[in-house]
Amino acid sequence: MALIELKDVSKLYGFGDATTLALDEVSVSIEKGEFIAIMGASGCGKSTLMNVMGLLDRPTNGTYTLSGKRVDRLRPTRAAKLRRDTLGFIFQNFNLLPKLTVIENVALPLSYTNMSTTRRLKTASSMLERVGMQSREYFLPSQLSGGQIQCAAIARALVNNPSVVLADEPTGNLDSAGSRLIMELLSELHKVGNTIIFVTHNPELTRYATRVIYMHDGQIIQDEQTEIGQVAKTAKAQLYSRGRLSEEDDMAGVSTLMKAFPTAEQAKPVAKKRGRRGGKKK
Amino acid sequence: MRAVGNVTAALKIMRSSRTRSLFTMLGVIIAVAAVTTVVSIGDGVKQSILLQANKSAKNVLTIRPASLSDTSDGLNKINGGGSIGVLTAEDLKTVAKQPHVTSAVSLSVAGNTAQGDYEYKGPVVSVDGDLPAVVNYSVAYGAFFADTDAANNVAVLGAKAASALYNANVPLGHGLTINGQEFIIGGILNSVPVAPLSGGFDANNTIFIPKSAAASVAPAGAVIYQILAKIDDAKNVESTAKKMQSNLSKEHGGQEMIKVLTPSELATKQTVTLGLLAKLTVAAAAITLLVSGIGIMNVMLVSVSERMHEIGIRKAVGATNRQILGQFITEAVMLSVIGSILGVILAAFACFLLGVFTDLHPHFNWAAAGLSCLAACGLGILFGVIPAARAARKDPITALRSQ
Ligand SMILES: Nc1ncnc2c1ncn2[C@@H]1O[C@H](COP(=O)(O)OP(=O)(O)OP(=O)(O)O)[C@@H](O)[C@H]1O
Ligand SMILES: [Mg+2]
Repeated sequence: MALIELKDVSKLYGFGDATTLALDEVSVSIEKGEFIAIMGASGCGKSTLMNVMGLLDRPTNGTYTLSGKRVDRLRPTRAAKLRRDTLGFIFQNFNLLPKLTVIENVALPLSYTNMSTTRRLKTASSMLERVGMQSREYFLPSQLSGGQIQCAAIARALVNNPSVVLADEPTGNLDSAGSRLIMELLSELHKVGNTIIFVTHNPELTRYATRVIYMHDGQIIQDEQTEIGQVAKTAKAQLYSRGRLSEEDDMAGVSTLMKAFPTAEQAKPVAKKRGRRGGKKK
Repeated sequence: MRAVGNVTAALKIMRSSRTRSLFTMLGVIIAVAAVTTVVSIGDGVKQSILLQANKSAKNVLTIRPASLSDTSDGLNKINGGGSIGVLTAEDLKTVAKQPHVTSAVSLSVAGNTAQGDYEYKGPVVSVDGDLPAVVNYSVAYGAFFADTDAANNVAVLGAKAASALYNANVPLGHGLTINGQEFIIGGILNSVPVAPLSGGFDANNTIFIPKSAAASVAPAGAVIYQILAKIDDAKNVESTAKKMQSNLSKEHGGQEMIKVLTPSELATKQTVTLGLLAKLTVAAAAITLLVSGIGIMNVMLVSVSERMHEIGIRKAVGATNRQILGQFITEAVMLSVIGSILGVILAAFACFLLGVFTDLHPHFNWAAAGLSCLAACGLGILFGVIPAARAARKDPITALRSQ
């Protein structure tokens, strides 16, 4: 039995003329222990898919089965409890509450359970140790680097021992060193049996994944199993197609070396075809 | 367990936005402090009225026209000229004739201005010579007029009236003009303790003249506004009052135009006006409280929208609607509880200062403090719930997206 089973899942935003079809009959099945990268152009519905899988959002149509249970029509309270007990989230930014210390932030999901404060803090502390952040327990988020914030966010995502970790562009705000730190951490988690799904615009990061899902206009256009340590084929094609220098680049003095770095500009490799359904990224 | 967590979390939030929290609480602080202080002042005054009633004239009955007995300031009403002479000399005789009555005097208003070294506005009251014996007034200088020197146009001054009329410390023998008539000061009373704010008759401000002189000062005839009757023993006060009441009513054609008041009834009457005053202030304070509740709601609304992202993250990691609601309500309650406590402390301080620097002696009223705190917290919850409920219902994605 698959851990996550989506069947013909659609998600419509808005109504009337302003309707956006963010997910268009997506069907996907994810097994326990997979490490999945989701790629695709901006506005193609990656975040929407993550939110639906993470029970943050309800699909308009279709069925969602999580660990054998239908969860697409859950009441808010049941959904909240499932998020608390079986899911871990890492967002691109604003992961941590600025007024809480790192350890309090990490313990946050547990504070909605009946666990005692001492046990909560102990669990949070051991998670921080696991991500190499034990020396920063009593820091405030404002006193951390971007990479450290994401490490703490990973610790928080793991603190409830979730069956799935969902990360929507976890390295979006980090440089290549920071990205590598985060991906190494996720990869270690994967090695001990966690199921991880992450969204990225950086083809390089598909090295860590066992499977890459490509999306376009709300649909899954390709689903590729890959070897760990190798950039996925489709992603690679995009990466190198981008590496070439155009005439403008030449004029502006951009070198091939600079082009090889996954810059923000490069992070959006797939040709844009937004707005076909009237959708527009906010 | 979780409630404790909520409280610590709320305290943390409040500490990190101290100014905003203080301003939110300000309404609560002011309202609670106002209610408590006003009620405490009222209590203090009430107590001193009762104390005075207990101390001075335990066995004196006060007889007044019924129309005036409802208010404590019968004298002022008469001065305003709105009274008819209900009480008559006949009534005085009836009162004096009652068993257990040792002596009875009538007090009539003969004027309201006098000229000494200065002009003075205050009650001129014509009485019998045995007034001091009936109400235990003591004379500081000189002597109270006896009924025999009536013809000599002697006046006796209350302590405050004396100092307001003359430069001299002891103006014995000085002249006094009342409505064109010359009087000589024959005595000055010791100051009589009077409860502040009671609005009652204050002997300290009064000029006393003999009854027989009244006609010359007030050609239209002095109006008797009350009769005081001394009873031989305090244990006969109640029964005599009843009998006297029925006899007087009989003489006035069966109508209860005249009221006989025992000392405790008199004290109650005096506190009625005070109670009214207190009620008005409490009403004003209640409005303050309501406004402060709206203030709390406003701050909560702002706080909720400012913290939408926080709500989103909390929901994403598994907070249920109810848990979010609990968190925000706890904050509202903490704001009102701490505001209430500060309000009570402020009230205690105000009462202390009033006790030291004024002649009010506020008696700190714990019931008022408790009730206003309860009301403040109730309002805090009531007004905190609305924004909190809004926050709690937000779906996690919308909350996460908002900045
Ligand atoms: N709350 C919303 N209301 C209306 N339209 C929305 C809403 N959320 C998303 N959409 C639309 O749905 C589509 C998919 O959005 P989504 O956020 O899933 O894209 P994405 O693939 O995550 O893009 P990015 O890579 O830029 O994060 C977009 O066209 C977007 O405009
Ligand atoms: Mg996205």
